[in-house]
Amino acid sequence: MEASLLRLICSKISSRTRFFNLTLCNETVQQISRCSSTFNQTQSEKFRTAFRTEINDPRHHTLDHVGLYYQIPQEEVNGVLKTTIKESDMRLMKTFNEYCLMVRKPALELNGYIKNFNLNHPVPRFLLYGLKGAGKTCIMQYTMQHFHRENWIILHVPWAGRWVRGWYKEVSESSYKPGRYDTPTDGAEWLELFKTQNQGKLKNLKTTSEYIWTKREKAEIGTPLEEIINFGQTRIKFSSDCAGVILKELRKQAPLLGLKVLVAVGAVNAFYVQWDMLNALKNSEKKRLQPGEISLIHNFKKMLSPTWTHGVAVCTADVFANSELTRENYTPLYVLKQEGFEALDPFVPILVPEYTDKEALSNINYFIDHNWIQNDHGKTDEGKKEIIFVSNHNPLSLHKICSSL
Amino acid sequence: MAALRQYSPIVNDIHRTFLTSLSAIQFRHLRSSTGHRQTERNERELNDSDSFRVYEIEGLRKSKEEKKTRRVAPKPFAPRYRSMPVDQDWTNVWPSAATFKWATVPFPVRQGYIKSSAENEGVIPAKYGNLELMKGPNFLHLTPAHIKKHCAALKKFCTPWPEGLETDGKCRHHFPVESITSDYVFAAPSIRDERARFVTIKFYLSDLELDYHARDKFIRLVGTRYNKDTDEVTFESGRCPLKAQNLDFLKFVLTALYFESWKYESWEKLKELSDMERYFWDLNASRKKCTSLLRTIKSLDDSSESNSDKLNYLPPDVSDDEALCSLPEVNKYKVAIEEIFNEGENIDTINQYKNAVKTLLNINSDVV
Amino acid sequence: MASNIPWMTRLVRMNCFAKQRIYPIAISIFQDGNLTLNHVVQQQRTYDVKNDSTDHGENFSISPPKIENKPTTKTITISRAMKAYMERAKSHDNMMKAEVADYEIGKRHLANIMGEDPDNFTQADVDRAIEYLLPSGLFDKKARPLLKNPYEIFPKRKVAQFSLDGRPLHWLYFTALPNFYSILHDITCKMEDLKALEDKLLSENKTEDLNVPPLNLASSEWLTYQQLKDKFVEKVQEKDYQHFLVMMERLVSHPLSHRELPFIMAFRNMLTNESLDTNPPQIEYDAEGRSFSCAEGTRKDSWAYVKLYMPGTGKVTINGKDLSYFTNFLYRESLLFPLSLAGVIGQVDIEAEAMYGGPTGHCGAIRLAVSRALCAFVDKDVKEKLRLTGMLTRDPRKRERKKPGQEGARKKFTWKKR
Repeated sequence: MEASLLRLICSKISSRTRFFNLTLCNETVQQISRCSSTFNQTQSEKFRTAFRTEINDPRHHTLDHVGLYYQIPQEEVNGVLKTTIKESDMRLMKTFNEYCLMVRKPALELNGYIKNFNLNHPVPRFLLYGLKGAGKTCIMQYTMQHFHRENWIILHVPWAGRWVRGWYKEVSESSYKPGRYDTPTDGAEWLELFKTQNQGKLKNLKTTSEYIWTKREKAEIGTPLEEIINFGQTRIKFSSDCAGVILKELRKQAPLLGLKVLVAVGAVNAFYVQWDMLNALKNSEKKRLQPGEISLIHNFKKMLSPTWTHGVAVCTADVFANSELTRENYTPLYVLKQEGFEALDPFVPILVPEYTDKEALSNINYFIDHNWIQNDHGKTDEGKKEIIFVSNHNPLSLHKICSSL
Repeated sequence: MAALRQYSPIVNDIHRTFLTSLSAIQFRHLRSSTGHRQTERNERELNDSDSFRVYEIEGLRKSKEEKKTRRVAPKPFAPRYRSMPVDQDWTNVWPSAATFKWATVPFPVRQGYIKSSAENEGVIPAKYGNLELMKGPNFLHLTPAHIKKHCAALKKFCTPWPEGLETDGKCRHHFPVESITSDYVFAAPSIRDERARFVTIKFYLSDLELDYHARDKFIRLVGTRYNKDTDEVTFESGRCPLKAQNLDFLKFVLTALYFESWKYESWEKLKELSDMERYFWDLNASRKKCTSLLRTIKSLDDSSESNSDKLNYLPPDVSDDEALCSLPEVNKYKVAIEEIFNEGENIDTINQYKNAVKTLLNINSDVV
Repeated sequence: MASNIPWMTRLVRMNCFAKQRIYPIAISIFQDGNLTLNHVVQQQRTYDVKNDSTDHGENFSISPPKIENKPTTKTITISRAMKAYMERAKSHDNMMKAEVADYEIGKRHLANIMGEDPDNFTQADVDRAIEYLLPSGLFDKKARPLLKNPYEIFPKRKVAQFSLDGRPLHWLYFTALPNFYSILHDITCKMEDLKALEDKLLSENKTEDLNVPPLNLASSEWLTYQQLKDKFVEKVQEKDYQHFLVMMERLVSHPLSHRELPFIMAFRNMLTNESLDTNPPQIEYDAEGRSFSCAEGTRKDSWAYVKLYMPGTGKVTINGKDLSYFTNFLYRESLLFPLSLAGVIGQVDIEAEAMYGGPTGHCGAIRLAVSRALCAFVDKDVKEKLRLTGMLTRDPRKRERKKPGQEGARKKFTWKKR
């Protein structure tokens, strides 16, 4: 088996065509990658070093690795990064049969801030902002992977815009506090995500106060958090409350148990700016709900205020979670509006720029290596320049353009 | 007969003279217009034969020979341009604006679209009776010679530019208020025009002596009449029937606004945060949040054993808000956030804010 | 009249109606010349004068009719058709003389009105003066007022094709296209001559005369159908024109065709080098010493002004935004085209201002302006490449107007039977 695989690796690049790779199962690919490391003398390996790094642990990345791709293991893709990767990216990665991410400077900067931060201080807020498709979410993924490996607990909202909109979403008034509204499906979904992303980190966590759901159902002091999650998933009516309980317990216990918590919220502006389009969530009286009236958002907002310690909040500002008429700019105040800005203030804004020439070339080379760019002109230096010009250094545009080459 | 024939020319002559005068008299009072014609015919008959004439009763017998002679139209005068000298003074020929006249314009200009050689024999229509030329505007009254004459005539009304007003800056210094009025001249029995009453005055706000409060109040009072980009205030009035009245009114408005701006009314104390013209960090919740955050950090720092990563710039006593806010780190943060709100977001202001927050909370990275 | 010559035949070159053509007309002048003949001579003089003033060269000669030069005692009668023709020609000539006189005086008047020197008042000055005095915004420039030499305004007339006695001058008169067919005849004759010459050379073994390089006619092209019709003043059919082309091509393909080069070139238009004709923008330097060039471009309703810095870093600014001004990749690609053609991607900075119209017009206008501005920096070959790919040509397509009675430019209202 191994010998035949080695032959495959040593043969021409055509062995890496997507058609071939599609037929391989993931397990086989991992074997291939393991084997390939011993054969780094071959021509294709030399070529690969231009855009690839062997160091696959984000904790060891330095400025030298900026613009290079590293591989993410399968279990992390299905674990901590589950549902964080965009569907189209996921398709691409499945086609390539490997999960690769580019190391970028703002990501290193952000991880540096978090590493150096004194966790005894109240939570700092970091806001990633930038143009559409510049890679804000990818940088958040990188940070999540990095701190997942350092055993942090991850509280992740992939895209908060989902929580304020939906045509057929069930909305019920909270049993805990009138005037607040639960979205049971969203709550259950988030609980599931939380569970997958923090497998093996929640074993020792138990509640520190009593929670009464109904007359008959309650959680005693010392109930494991996993049980709360399971309860929320089976009785999704209480899923939002369960999520609130988990967040509250984490806030409370983090300093006591020395936990480290990473709050990662995508499109945090949805927490503060009302979604006023037709598919906004409405209560039974057909009144549009303010973001703060939705229990999940109310609970998560607490995680973003500097009232607790041993945690870090990383958010992205996505103007596409705002109404269509207010999408001209991407700067923090414009996207968050005054309310959101004042709620997060003081925060560290981190600009996610578009690709530099080096990064764009690295991306194109990666695509060429995976035969994603098959046009012969696209493989020449002139062709690469043209692709970069038309994409205007924007990662998303670059992906779109290359998909047809 | 032969003798008669021999003298026939003489006889004929006599006859002719006699008969002509006779018939002329005879017919003139009957029908003056045909008299001449009749005479001619008789004459012809006399020439043709020596027979006696036959009295013809008009209208009794229709003569085939009789034809209606067409009245010959008088030959038109040669057009004016034919008699023009080549070195004439054009301004006398065409003194004022007028429609194109083919006979006066001395050059053979043509106009008209010819679709093919079948149309007008393929020739572009000449100026004679050419409506296209008459319809279009012309500048025959505004040739260089005309303009020279106009300028010469207007020159006696001109005065030299006053000394000391050479530059725009000097003009603005000496005449800070600029008033704009319009006069309308047209051909009508009335010399009045409704539009002439409008008066516009313009001045720069910085030319007025105002303090911060008065300036703010002035801007709020004038509303959209103040242009923030150019610092210019524009008032326009047409509410009074006369120009002078409107000008007086605007002067009054300016004076009243000026003094009103300096007043501080009791209700102005009720101004809330949302009424503010700018973002003031000191009045906003941000300051309170910031000081409480710093106090929390201080208490946490005090309680922790390790000495690393503490906010070292904080004084031992953090109970006083004023003292906290006067710290350079906090002040830098204050300036940054005020700039973001007041001057708008751009790479500079955002980076300034980022650096301020980093120093405020002691956030550092190896990679910058 | 020279009385010692019993009769004489004169060939008169008439060139009054056809600006660039000379038509032969034979006029026999009899010994007992009467008034009519005198008139003919006089007419001939005036034509000669005009011939001098308006002759622009580039004529082709048509073989003159062969009139036998032997004495005869027979009186030549002038046919009625010829008489009528001469009367018409005379009146036309007089009218033209009057028109020209009017034009010359009018020009002096115009110069006087505009306060300029009448002696040095050119046609360009006339056009400018008319544009100032009688401004017109009519779309078609042909519909605007003008003042031109009458010879440019009155269409040319064909000169009589028959002599005084009514006999046709041209031996091919009854083909209805004498000029055209005589040229075809010439081509055939020349072809036969060349063939004979070729045989002769071959027989004499003078191969070096035969092995001359083929004619290079790349810098010219055949006269168009319309031009040919104008040249002959005859109603040549389209199929005849094709026939003519076939024969000419055959002549050109002959190895000795270079011997007939002047004849061939009489039927060809010289091509001008477009990119060399247009004056390219000049290189300028800004305060920091950076070299740049400016150019304007238009497409549809849009207008663009581009400042192109070279060398640069590939920065593009369009109306204050970067290339993301165009959301559609197609527009960005079309902007890329001239840069990629010149091989300067990433080496120039573009600052563009675009107005009016939509994104398609904007990108087209900017592309044209960029190509023009590039001409200042690139060498001749690249310039030629740009021209050949149409980068320097303004796209002439415009929005078509809506027509009354229908829904749009072409679309009709829905037709319902009832």
